[in-house]
Amino acid sequence: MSNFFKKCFWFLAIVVVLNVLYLLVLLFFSPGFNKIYEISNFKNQNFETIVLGNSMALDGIDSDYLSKNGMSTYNLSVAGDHISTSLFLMEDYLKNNSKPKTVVVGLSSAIGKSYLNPVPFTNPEVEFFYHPNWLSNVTNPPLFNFQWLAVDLIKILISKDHRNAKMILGQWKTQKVIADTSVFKNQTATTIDYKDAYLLKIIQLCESQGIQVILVELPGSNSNRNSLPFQYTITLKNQSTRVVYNLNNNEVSSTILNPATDWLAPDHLNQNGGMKITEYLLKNVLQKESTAAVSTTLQQ
Amino acid sequence: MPVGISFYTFHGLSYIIDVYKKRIIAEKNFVDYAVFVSYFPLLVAGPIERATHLLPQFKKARTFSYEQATDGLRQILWGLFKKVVIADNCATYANQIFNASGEHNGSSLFLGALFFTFQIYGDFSGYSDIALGASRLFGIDLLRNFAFPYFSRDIAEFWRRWHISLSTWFRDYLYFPLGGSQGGTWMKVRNTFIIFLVSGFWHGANWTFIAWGLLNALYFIPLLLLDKNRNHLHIIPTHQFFPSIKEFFQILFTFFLTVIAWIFFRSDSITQAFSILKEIFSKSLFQKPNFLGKQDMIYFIIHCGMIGILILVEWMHRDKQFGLQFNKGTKNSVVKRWSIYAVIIVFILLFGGKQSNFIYFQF
Repeated sequence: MSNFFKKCFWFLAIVVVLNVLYLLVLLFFSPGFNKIYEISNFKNQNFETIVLGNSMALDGIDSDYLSKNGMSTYNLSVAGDHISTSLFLMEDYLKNNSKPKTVVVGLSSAIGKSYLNPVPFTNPEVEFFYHPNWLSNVTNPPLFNFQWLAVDLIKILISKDHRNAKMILGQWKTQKVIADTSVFKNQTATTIDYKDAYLLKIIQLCESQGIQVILVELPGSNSNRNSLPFQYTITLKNQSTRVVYNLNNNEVSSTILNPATDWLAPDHLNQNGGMKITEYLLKNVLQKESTAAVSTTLQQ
Repeated sequence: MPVGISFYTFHGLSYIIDVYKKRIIAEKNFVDYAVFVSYFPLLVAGPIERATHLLPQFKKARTFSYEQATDGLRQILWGLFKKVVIADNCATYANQIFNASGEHNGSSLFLGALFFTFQIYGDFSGYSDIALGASRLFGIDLLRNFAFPYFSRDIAEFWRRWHISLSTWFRDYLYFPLGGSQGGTWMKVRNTFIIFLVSGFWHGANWTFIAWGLLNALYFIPLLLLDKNRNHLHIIPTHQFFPSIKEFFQILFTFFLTVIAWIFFRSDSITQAFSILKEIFSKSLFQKPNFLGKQDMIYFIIHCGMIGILILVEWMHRDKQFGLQFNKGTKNSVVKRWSIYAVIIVFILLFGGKQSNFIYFQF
């Protein structure tokens, strides 16, 4: 009997060791996991611009390009995220770092309601680094809690594009190309719920500290684009209004993006597409908004 | 319908019939009888035990057996792999395809049937492995329920290897009392049809289960008439890794027949089953499966790889009681054994599918 219990103990020990090993592998080889670790340790950073969003913003907004063009930027977007996590990350960033001048919120009508889902969900990676909890790690061990990251590791193992991909200033940069063969359906309605409570909280948090918030609807694949104007006004939960820059307008995104070279998956831009859309965003939105903000300050 | 009603009904019936037929003496000890009726590992999905097999084990003084307990843990681990990795992942694909069968071409529908074939095996035999393993920790052996049925060379062999406790229950309590194979060809055919029909009906009052039973009877009757139903009483010997070409095609053909039969079992109605079969046996069987366009291919490849691992491990251990059993008496390297356990744990935790109920809980 004692031999049996000894073996059971060893079995449990192996389960623990495997989970610890998996965590180490993720820390060394998973850029996404490493990014959350990095931002959880941010202290005294002074980025001028912070980007919030989910995977569409993570792939699509090139913080390196913006930084090289005079606007030091970090992309705080996390794949598969809910906007409540963006709010949490922003609050934490503001506690430990200098406040940025601008926050860009990358919204996405193309991939449904995941980012602005009416029912908030937590991000396991963020929970792991920001709210370490032994009980949760026992009942929900890392091998189980971070299942999808194992698939990312397999992709890194078998695909050169994934191996060569890099996380630069929070943006996931990959040269992988999967052409967008879908067709535009002339949709006029937006699927974004701008009355989301967390969106309002992010705007209020930033504006209370004098940070300019820019709302951007990011471009999706042809079939998920809309015909709404490039610039239109939306109403928030508290009935106040804001302007949204709609890069998902078919005319705009068709002139910027090449369906054959700029996509890495449906609705997700690769580094070519990301750079093109960021270049457009810088020239047509960020620089103009920045100038407008300066002149408003001068007038005051 | 109460969970597991078909199981404990048959379980209880076997006791009553055995007492009536004077095969056993009625149990006087209420506690022993209560344990027999409500023994937790087999309560909701079998195996369907016999009083003659189980009751005497309750009466014996139990001693701890290290070999039996560790073998039980291995069986639980393998059962978990089959349920969590194989069945739950296959369920996702099978449900997607069967729930929208009208939208899919023949090749997708055939893929759906294949996934359901592995889902039901992983789900039911996985449960049985967990039940048998858990029971062995208490020093009690339950009846074997599965013996690598998809390696069968004909449908008669398949039915000797699939849900063994139910097949033998029907054999002992229905087929033999009806006269078995003693009364000439007509009697044999009639009794076989009755067994398969009742077996279908046992799963539920739905025409799809009746059709599934009838189809299996139709598969079985030719073997019976040609007196070939007892050709393959033992599993393909393990002294060589690969089966002979003849055996390979026999296995493949039997597997194909089984896949077709499962379509009736999984469909919501007879009409759906026939429309699926019509599409499968059309030119669209040779088109690219349109279902694949909606999948993340990396996950699809991983899940197919897991099915491959299941087949490989069970094929290599086909002479054992379950996939992860090691040879008794021979010293397997500790490193090798524990590496296998580690890999299986990683597979279960990393590639486990979306949690779903055991299929046979509904019966």
